[in-house]
Amino acid sequence: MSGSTDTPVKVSGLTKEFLDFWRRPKAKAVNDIDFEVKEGEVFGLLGPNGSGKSTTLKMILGLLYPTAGTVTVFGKSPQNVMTKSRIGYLPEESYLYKYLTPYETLDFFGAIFGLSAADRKKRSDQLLEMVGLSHVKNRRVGEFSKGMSRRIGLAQAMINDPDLLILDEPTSGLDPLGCKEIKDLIKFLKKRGKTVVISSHLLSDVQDLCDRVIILYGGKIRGQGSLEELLTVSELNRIVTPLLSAEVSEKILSILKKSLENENIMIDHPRRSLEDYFLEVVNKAREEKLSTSGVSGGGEIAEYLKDEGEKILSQLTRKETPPEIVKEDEALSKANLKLSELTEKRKDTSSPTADGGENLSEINKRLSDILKSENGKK
Amino acid sequence: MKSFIAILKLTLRIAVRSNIFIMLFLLLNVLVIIIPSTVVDDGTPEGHIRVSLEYCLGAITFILTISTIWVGCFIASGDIENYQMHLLVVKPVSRVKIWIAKFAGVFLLHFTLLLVSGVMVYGRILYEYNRTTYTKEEKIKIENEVLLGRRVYMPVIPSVEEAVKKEYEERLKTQKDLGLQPEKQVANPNDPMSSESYRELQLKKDVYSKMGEVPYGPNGTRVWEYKGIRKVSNNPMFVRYRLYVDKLGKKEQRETMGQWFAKIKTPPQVIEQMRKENQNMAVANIENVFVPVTPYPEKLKGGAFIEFVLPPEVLGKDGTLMLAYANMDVEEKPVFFQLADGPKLLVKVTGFFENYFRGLLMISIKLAFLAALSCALGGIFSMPVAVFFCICYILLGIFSGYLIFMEEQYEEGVEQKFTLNSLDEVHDYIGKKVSRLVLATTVPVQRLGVSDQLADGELVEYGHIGQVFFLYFILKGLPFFALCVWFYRKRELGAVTRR
Repeated sequence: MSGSTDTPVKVSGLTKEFLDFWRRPKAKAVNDIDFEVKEGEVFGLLGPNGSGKSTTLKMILGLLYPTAGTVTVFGKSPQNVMTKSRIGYLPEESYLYKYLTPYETLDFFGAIFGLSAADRKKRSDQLLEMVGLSHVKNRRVGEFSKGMSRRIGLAQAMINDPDLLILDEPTSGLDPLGCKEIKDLIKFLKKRGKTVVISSHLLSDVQDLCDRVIILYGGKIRGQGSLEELLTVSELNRIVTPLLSAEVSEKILSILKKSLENENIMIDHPRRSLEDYFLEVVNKAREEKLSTSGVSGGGEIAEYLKDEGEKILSQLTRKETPPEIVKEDEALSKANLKLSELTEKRKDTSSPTADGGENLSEINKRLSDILKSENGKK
Repeated sequence: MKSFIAILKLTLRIAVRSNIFIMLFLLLNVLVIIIPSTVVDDGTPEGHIRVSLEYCLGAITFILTISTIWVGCFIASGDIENYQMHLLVVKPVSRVKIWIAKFAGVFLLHFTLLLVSGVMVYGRILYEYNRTTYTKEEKIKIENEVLLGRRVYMPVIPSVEEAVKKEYEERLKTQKDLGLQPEKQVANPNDPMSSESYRELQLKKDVYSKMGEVPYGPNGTRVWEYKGIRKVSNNPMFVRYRLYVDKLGKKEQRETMGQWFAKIKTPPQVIEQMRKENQNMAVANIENVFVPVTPYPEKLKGGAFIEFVLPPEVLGKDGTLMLAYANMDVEEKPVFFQLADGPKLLVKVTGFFENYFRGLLMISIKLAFLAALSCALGGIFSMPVAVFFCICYILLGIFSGYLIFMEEQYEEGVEQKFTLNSLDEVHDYIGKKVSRLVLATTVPVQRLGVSDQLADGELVEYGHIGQVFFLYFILKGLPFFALCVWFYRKRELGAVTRR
């Protein structure tokens, strides 16, 4: 098999055909796909149900064997036992041993990785703290909710501090708090140079996290590239300003309308996401120390994960001079003043051009100049 | 090694926490308490101890056999069907190691249960033995017949072929004497009973039955010869036999009269005296003499096992012994001995504790085999299918063993001719061939039981244990397990779908 030893995953001409009992073809789940996951990137596998995401992941993990093509993980076959010591895997559902407690679960998987008893204890405690289950570490996993099981599933995937983390539907069954924690963790791992492969059909997850994605449908790759390339709508612009008075909004609208005839222009208030609002409420409740039998605390990255990424962490936690905060009211009033001046002036001196007036980019530029100059003065 | 121990511990934890261990433990406890109080014995103290031991140990072995199959299949296939194996095989541990650790876990669990229940049975038997209601003589009888380990010697079986030939010639002579011309029988294709092999078989069955018969009258004595007996210090020897009065079968048996004799080297002073009395007696005839070893007259119960003690002096220096039974039935009916019953010559080799320990060792080999079998099949099939195949494996061994036993009992030496004279013959032929193939390739698990042996005070030989381990576990078991593990290793675990 070919493939650089540094390339976490390399897939070439990968095909998987499921056969029936008589070896007759039943379904082609994956059909001749090629892709490569580079070191240190967060890579997303997107697609609707049955598109071949999980089958591809299972072939990367050695749980299924390709009908054709090759898969290499760190340059070796997925069956290679030693390669597996560099992988962490969170399956679609947390297939845990229901008779074990969370602590025993982590201790067991730690032992599978050959960790010493002391290391297992340290890591298990820290991971349980990280996923917010340290207070229930002696309850059996079988009694847990799906979300709590997912958290233990995630913790077991991290027990070996993997170089390659494969997450199948990582946020499935988790509350928004859990989703955020997982996202934060993935971002943290990325900063540490770890490679993460995510399979999901929850587009928001992928959008928040992934550097590159492939979109599968019918076992084939239908789209691929970086999110920057795929998601930027170069034909549209968006302006975000502090709260505008009605008068200013009117003025802006009139400028825009003059310049962009027959175009749909709208000014409204941006909305924060429900996830942001939820997190705010829960964090407030935590600050008030309200009791819960479910997940509590958590989100704090395990110390042993931090230890090994000290350099990166120091960069991450380096104090930077924050930008000067502009007092909103002052800035607003000045911006409004400038805008009114501008609109008055235009009333006198210019009229719409035959082709619809100034083009959009010019208007944007002028608006941003006004706002910048006001902020600069402050 | 850490991963191996982790999986082994996990297997034990699952078994204990899923209450399998507790349930089995309680069940085995209940059996040990209940069985000795409820079994029907022959009314004798030694019979009670014997039956209690046999049934307790038999029941424990049976429960542990079923449990080993069940738990083995559950542990091996459950992880795959519940997808827990997905988490395990993506970790740096080989599937072979996973399989071995699971097998070790299942075996260790049942071995522990066997030890615990074995100790309980031992304690219960000693408790029964120490009951104050037994007299000193009864206790000695229990010690001599049950609570010890005796090496078993079977009598030398005379050549069946020669006996068949002799019988055939005798029958011809009888017909000739009666003035009858023996008919030349021609095999009728429509009548399987007219075939030559069938007639030969019938003749052989007659010879076998005659070999165990002791008629009443002047020729009413039957002699058995034992060879290669190893003397163990001055330990007593025992003869264990069962006779049937008038006909074979347990029904309508009654008491009979008889006496046992042992051949000993005639003491020199006796020879001298006999020579003086009878100058013409051949030396060969007086060198040895049969002396009674049981009282006369003794009432013997038909259809039941009887034992008597032989003094060690009757054993020849070359390790040979000759025993004779004289039929003295009051109704002048013949008595019958079955070949399988011996009579067995038993020589005390060890005490009960050691023999019991050997028995548990043998049962543990059986459990190890079953644990490996169930884990092997559980690794490649779903749980119901694996359990089904395990049971089929055991049943195949039992049926094939029975078929071959019957063949060896009655058809040894009879030339097998493959003819298509009837469908029955074809079935028989195919059945025997398949049975031989099955026995050659599989392990007849039923032969690994020792509870009846222990109950009869028969020694469980280390040599036999070693032979069973090597022949059954290593030679026959390992290739099969290796094949299953190969399939398990190659199995696409990701293809398993939850139903």
